[in-house]
This record gives sequence, structure tokens and C-alpha cells, in this order.
Amino acid sequence: MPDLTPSEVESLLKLEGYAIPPQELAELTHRLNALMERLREFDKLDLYGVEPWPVQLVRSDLHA
Amino acid sequence: MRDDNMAFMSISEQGALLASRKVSPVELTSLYLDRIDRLNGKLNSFNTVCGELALEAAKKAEREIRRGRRKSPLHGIPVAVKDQMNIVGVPNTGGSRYFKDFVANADAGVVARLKKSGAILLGTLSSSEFSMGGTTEHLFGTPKNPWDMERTPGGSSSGAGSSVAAGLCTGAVGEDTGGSIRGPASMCGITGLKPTWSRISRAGVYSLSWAQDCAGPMARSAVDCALMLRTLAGHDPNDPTSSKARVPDYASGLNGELRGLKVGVVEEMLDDSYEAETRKAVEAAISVLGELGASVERVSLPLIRTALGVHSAVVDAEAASYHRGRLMDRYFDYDYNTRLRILVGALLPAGMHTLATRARAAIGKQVLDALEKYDVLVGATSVGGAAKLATGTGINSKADALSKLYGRPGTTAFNMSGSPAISVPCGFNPAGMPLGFHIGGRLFDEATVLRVAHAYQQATDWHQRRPPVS
Repeated sequence: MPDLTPSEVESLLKLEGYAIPPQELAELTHRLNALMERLREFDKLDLYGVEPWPVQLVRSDLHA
Repeated sequence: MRDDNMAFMSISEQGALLASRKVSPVELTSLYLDRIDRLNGKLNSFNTVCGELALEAAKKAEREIRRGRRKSPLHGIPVAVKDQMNIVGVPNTGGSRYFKDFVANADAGVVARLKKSGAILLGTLSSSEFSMGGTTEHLFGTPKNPWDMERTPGGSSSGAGSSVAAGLCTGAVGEDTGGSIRGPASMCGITGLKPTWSRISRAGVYSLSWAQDCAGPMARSAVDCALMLRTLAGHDPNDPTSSKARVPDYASGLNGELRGLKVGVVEEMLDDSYEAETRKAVEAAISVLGELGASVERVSLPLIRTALGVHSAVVDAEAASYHRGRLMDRYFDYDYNTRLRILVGALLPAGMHTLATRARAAIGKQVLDALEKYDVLVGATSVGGAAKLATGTGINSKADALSKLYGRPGTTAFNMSGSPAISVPCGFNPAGMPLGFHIGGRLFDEATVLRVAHAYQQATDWHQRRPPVS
């Protein structure tokens, strides 16, 4: 999967309603690409049946 | 009266002096205020010092104790809270320029409980901005580590770690979303407990991640943490997610006994990504548990390796929601690192965020499943001792970001499971910086976590060492 370019990140920012100084764009792009790469590792993980609730809430019987 | 040794006494030791009226709350409070006056300019532990309010509360405590009404083990004991928690009439800045003029008009749940117990509030303690870590320019000056002023005390509960270590208060309340109590505790050589999520009220505390934020005690020992937790824990109508579960007398179960206890050593919290001296110190700590009668086995929880990336995706996206309007409104009132973290969270695709929340559930389940076999899971709190103070973020490439932001620490896995976890001092690295031993337990079983920590501290004296600050 190719990394996002700074100009693509700038477009995403615009979509979200943010405008940031040009000198911050490079580091933001590095950070976003890094996190996306980390999360793509979970494509290989079997999350079948795993729901997104915090597990401590699911085990709420322990709260009583 | 002037005895700086008293500033390093435990809650119980100071309590005995107060109860026998050998020392008064005003004398004890004045001792700390004097030390803060002398040392805070070097350490930047406190953001706001409430000298007058503290002395007023100390005089009230003195009158009550004189009448024979010592209402709790914290009555007359000087403590402080992270600058993230509301105290009526006191600034709560969250360590941010954005809230530099905000003064709270109601007490946070934890503050109300401390006041009710008769504890003396000395002020608010430095924090990474909005508890996000990595702040590049601190509003009140860069917090320093009392063991080495050129090093960080860790974050985000930086001031809580450094103030307790330096004898500027007897105990502190920090907050932990991914390791923000346990990390500074480890780096400053003190004891820090992240309780079960929902055990302590989040009302009046700036949020970072709704399902992971936990306030908790930071003090000199497991016993002190137990005494503080008894006061801090319990349901609060202002936080509907706070648990209604009974609050035990945690200190009463601390007997140094570990026979029959099953300990799982988490391989991923002690592998070769941790510094050699850290591994050595933690292995020695594990041996102590064995000598005290615990049975020890190795256990692999492979998902822990992914925890920090997942943590960032979940937490930063929540922070993007929490701060969205404010960040748009006054972008430059946020620190450089904070605003970039929030923006990453804002730009993360919704599908990726949901994937991360499912991964969080899988990581949390792996921890809780292991805790069905073991009473506690142990490992290293941090990769090494405190690092040198940084200038800037040091992120110039994707590889930098992968290693510096989305790498390891296993502490976050215990936020994902919601489990209680404590860090206790277990040695020093060659640079003379403290190291931490991490002990995590079952949901709502702080008693066992504290029992193991206490037994370890009965057998060792790392927690009694003092930094060379004067």
C-alpha cells in the first residue's frame, strides 16, 4: 500500500475543516503513514467475532 | 520544627505523628510548602501551589485532631493532584495554554473525596498537555526528574512522580490512560497504581479516552497506595460509569504472604526490546516473588506487541473528537506535539478506527484470559530508565514515528483490559535511574496486586531510596 503524500494529507485536512502551517505537514504525514502501516498489520489477524466494545464493559458482571 | 526526613515518611508514619500530636498538620503542611518553595523552581513539579488554602485546611484538621476526631488515615496528610483535576477556586489548565485562565467552580470526584477524608491539598501537579505525552513546550516549564535534572520524570503524570520522589508531598493523584501513572512512577522511583477502570470517578477530570482513563494513587509504597485508594475509590453520581462495587479495606490484606499465588511472567514485557539492566532488575524481582512462596511461570501474550499502535489509534481519535472545536478555534494554543497527535486521530479513516477498537478488545481479552490462570501478570514497566530531556519530537520520517510513537510499552494492554496494575521500584540502571516492576491483576482485584507489591517491598528496600535533590 503506497504512503499518502503531503498534498493528499492536506486534502484530508481540508475535508475535516483544518488548515495547518505548511511546515507541520511533513511530520503529520509521517505520523499518519506510520500509524496506518501499524494498523494494517491487523488485516492479518483473525478478529472474527471480536466486537469493538471495551472488554471490561462486556464483563460487567464483575462490577456488581 | 524542621526535619526534612519527615517529608519522606509514609502516610502511616506521618499519621502516627499526627494522631499522637507530636506533629501538627500545620507543621507538616508548612514543611512541604517550604520544600516546594525551595525546589519547585528546579523541578517544575507543581503548576499551581495553593499555599493559603492548604494552610487553612491544615488549621481545620489540627482543630479536629486536637478534639480527638481523626477521621481517616489521610486526615492532615498533604497531597496534590495532577493538573487535570478540578479543585474549586484553583486553575485547572490541563497543562495547556488553552485553559491557562480556567478556574474550576466544582471539585472533581477525587478531590471531593480527598477533602472529605481530611487530606490537605497542596496544589496541582505538572502534566503533559491534556495527558497526551510528548509535550514540547510546557506551560509552566519543563518538568525534571529529581534523580537527574537533565532527564524526564516521564509522563503524563510528570509532577506526581517527581513531587512524591522529591519529598514535596506525601502522596499524589495521577491519571493513567496508557501508562501515565506507572511510567512516571517507574522513572521517579516511586509506587504508582492504576486501578480497575471505573473504580475511581472520572468526574471533573479532563478526558483523554473515555473507556481507558483512570485516576489513581502515586506514593512511596504499596501500603500508601492502598490507603489512598480506599479514599479515592467508589461510586460518584457525577460519573455514571463509576462502579458501585464495594470498596474493600485494601491495607488490611497486606501481610507479606505469597504462598499459593500464581504469577505469570509476560514474555513480551521482558524480551530483548527491553534494556539489559531492566531485564536483570525485573528478573531479580521475579525471583523474590518465588522466594516468598509464589509459583512462577512464563506466559506469552503476543498481542501486547501491537498495543501501543492500537492505543494511539483509539485514544488519538477520541482526543480528536474531544478537542475538535477548541483546536479549530485556537490551533496555536495547543502544543506542537499535541496538535499533531490530535490531527492524526482526526484523519484516521473510520474503518481503521473501528478496526483498532476491535483489536483493543482482542488485546484486552488476551490479558483477562491469562488472568483466569494466573493471579497476577508481571513484567517491566518501561523499556529502560528515564531518558534525557528531549527538544522537539525527533520525528523526521515514518520510521521515526513507527519506533518512537507506535512501538511497544505493554502497560497500555492493561488499560485495554481495564485491569488494575502497579509499578514498584526494583533497582537502578547504570545511569543511576530507577527501574520499575509491573504487576497487573484481575478486574477489581486491586487487593491482590497491592498484596504482591507489598510483599515485594517488605523483602526489598528499593522504594526507600531517595533522590539526591536538596
